[in-house]
Amino acid sequence: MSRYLMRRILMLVPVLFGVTFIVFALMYITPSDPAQMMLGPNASPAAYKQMRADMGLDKPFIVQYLQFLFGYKHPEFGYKGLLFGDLGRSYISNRNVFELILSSFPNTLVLAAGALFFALLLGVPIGIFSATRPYSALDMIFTVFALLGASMPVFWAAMVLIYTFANNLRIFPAMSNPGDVISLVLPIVTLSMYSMAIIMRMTRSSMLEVMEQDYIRTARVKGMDEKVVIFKHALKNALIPVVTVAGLQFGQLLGGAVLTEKIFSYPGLGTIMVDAIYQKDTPQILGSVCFVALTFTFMNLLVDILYGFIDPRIKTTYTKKKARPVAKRSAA
Amino acid sequence: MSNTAINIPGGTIAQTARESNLRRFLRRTGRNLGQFWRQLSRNKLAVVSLGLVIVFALVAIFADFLYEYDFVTSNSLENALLKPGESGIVYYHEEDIEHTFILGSDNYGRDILGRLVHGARVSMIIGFATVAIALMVGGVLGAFAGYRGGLFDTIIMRATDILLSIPTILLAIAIVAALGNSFFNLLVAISTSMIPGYIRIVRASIISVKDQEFVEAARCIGAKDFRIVVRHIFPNIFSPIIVQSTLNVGSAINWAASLSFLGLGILPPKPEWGNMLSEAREFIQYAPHLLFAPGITILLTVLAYNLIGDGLRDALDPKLKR
Amino acid sequence: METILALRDLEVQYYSNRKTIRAVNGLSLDMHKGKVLGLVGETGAGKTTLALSILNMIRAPQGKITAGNIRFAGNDVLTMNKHELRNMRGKDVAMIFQDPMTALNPVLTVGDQIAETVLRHEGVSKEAAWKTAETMLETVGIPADRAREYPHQFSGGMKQRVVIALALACNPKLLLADEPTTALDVTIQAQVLDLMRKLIKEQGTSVLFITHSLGLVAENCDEVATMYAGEIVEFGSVKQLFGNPLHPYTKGLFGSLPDLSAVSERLKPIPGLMPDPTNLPSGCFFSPRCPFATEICHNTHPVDIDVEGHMVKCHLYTKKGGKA
Repeated sequence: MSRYLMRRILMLVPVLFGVTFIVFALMYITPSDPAQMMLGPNASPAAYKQMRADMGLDKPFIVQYLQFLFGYKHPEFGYKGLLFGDLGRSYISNRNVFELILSSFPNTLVLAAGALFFALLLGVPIGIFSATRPYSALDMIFTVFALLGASMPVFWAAMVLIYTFANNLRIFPAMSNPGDVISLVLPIVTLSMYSMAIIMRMTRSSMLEVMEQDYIRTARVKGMDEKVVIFKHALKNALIPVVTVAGLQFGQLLGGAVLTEKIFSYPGLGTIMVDAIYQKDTPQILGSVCFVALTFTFMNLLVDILYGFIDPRIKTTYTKKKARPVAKRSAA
Repeated sequence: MSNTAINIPGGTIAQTARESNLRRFLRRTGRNLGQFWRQLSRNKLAVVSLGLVIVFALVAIFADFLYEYDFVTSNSLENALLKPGESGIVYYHEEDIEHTFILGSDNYGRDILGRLVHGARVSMIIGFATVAIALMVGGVLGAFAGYRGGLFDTIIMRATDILLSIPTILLAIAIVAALGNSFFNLLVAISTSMIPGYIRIVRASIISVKDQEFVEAARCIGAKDFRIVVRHIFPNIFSPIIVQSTLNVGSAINWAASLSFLGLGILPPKPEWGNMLSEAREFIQYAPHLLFAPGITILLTVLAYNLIGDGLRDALDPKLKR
Repeated sequence: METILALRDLEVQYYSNRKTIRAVNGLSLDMHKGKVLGLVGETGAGKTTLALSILNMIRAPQGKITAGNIRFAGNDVLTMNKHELRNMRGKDVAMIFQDPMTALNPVLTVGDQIAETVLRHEGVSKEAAWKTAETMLETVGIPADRAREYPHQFSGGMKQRVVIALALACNPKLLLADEPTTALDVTIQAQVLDLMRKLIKEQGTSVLFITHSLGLVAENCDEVATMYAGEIVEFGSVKQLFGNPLHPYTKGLFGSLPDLSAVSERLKPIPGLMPDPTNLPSGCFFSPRCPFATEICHNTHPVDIDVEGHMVKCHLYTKKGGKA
């Protein structure tokens, strides 16, 4: 188990470098000019040149990337580098980039986790229900809802919810903050819609497929109650693909939170990221995008590990106890 | 086949054999299309969706005949925030004309329906162009990676892993942010986000097909790689690609709207569904049609593509054929 | 002989795409206590459907038992409510499926799968049920400590042993064995059959042994029924049927067996195919393939005829002194 984990974590390393490289390269080709931004429009060419040198922007691309990873020494603009959790200060707010990320990330996490929880809470039971009564009226209704949920633009769903529940019914506030649970309801519902639709459909189709399997027939032939057949024999098998989807969804939720946070003026990582993009605040963009990508990658790893707990077939391939003697030939 | 060809008078054996091959190909394609359409038409939702998509496509193509572009992009503040169905006097082309705002007007007094019509053109172009770009790039890379394997395959797959480890919408946002706001950059951003998906599908299909016996057989009788890919492998990977592409058109329209909503795509006054909603934000309380008209348009469009995609998946799935 | 299972005029249909598949057609059959009845027939004859019907496991809307009745130990299976049915399944009547690879749930340990059946039917504690599961595994030659392993950790033959342990865990009165060895290697087949024979004898279980191999029937069964297109066309003791097969179809089955004593003779496969169950021929279902078919065979459906305590459904025997 631990060796498997070690291998998986080692395999992450090139992916993580790749991600940081892509994000860095994207920011490098951005037409914005941080030195100009620091100095304002009326700076002399000499001061501008000095500023570029101070900020380390006059060096070749690859050197800048290495600085970004391993740090850059300068009394004013220096930082320890991404690998050491330091990307210096924001050009705009002058706050430490990683401190800002770490302080806002839990807020995003609350939103994404809440949304995933809500999506699973409704998506899985509805999916099971639909699978046990395929093509019934209720199944059709749920299918339509799932299709709507999967087709609806997140930002529009948010606006409709605000229009209905905040502006007109006045049940929930239009703006959210992490301290106020009531204010979290609308963003969580918004964010969960797409995932809920996906999880519902996945559970339904996976459940339908499993219910056709021979071992379900075996369970019925054994006289097991239909509840046991569904919840013990079928569900555990059907959930395996659902877990994968839910894990992937969690990553997408972290990314998708950008729009939701923006609309609900929620102080999460997404808002910080978008504001940084508007203001061309390169260190902040780099830090936030890398951070989300890294979290997403780790989530995928976590899903893989979780997989092993649900599916014994995978668990045995990496727990590999002492080699078992070949099937005892007692009756041979 | 060539046995029967020999008996046909006139022409060499080779010629007749080739003609009959062509004829056979056409006949088979025709029959498959007929069968495919019968399958698809059983799915009423997919047929309705197809109808909707065709109507939207016609609207997009003939947008200029329905509303002039200048008309839907120029302000007419005295007509701001009219309700659906209200009329107003618009000063346009140096004269006052009476105009009925079928879906009302926005905060600049621009015709909502007219902007939706021109937005449909933008959305359709983005939807199809991004899918075409992603399909070409992803398809070629995936096909090479799958067919050749080896180092190239490894490199491509690692690159795919890397791209997939950035949440899709975030990747698109980062690309537009880096390249700047423009129609072309929006296309690049959205298609880049789709490429990894295509690489995976095409590569997986190629790998699953390439070692099967009929491909082995083709190779044994000396068919060239190119011919094997075109004749034997392509028909087999066609289904997943067409399904994925249909679904992707819907997603692309959704993403384009989302990015434009964030101000990272097509900016007003150019008409685009997402930026219409962005502009509407402050006014939805007084003019809910600003919220519902573009939103429902996006929803219906994306829904239609999703339904067609589902329908295609069922129609193309040989396991479901009866 | 005490009758444990009596099927009368059973009809089972499946529905697919506006077509009706007539899988079982007016089938009658008696099974006797403590006996092993071999049910032979080609693929598609309705053998598995018959076994599932006995458990009332034909599921709507795809399939339905449309006529007839099934009496197990005097009780009418088709009028039982859900609860009674579930009490019967696994406890009184157990079933072994053809493919052990897919018959076991991959995410539950084999011990759990056996123990839950015991727990369901025997009203014992969890510990006792687990103990029974371990004992059953040992009975079929699997060490008890492997009860905590998952199906994928067993080989095919071992899995079928687990399935047998599972089926016999509650001492069923009737065992429906649906081609229990078809999916196994020949050497493993013999082991599994030996084991089954031993356990059946010990527990006094009646068995419906479904197979398409006449060899296995001769070795393992007391009585034989030949099934064709959803009907029993011949029924008798192994001795009667093997010594004097009456129905042309049964004869055909023997003819398509390799005869080791006559080296030069070629196999004689039965010409033609099983009739399409959505469109059964009029008259005798076998008439289109039958070398002896006369006009009456094509027009009138034959009835059961008793020829010296040996039942056959064929017009050839009406005139030969058999009585309907």
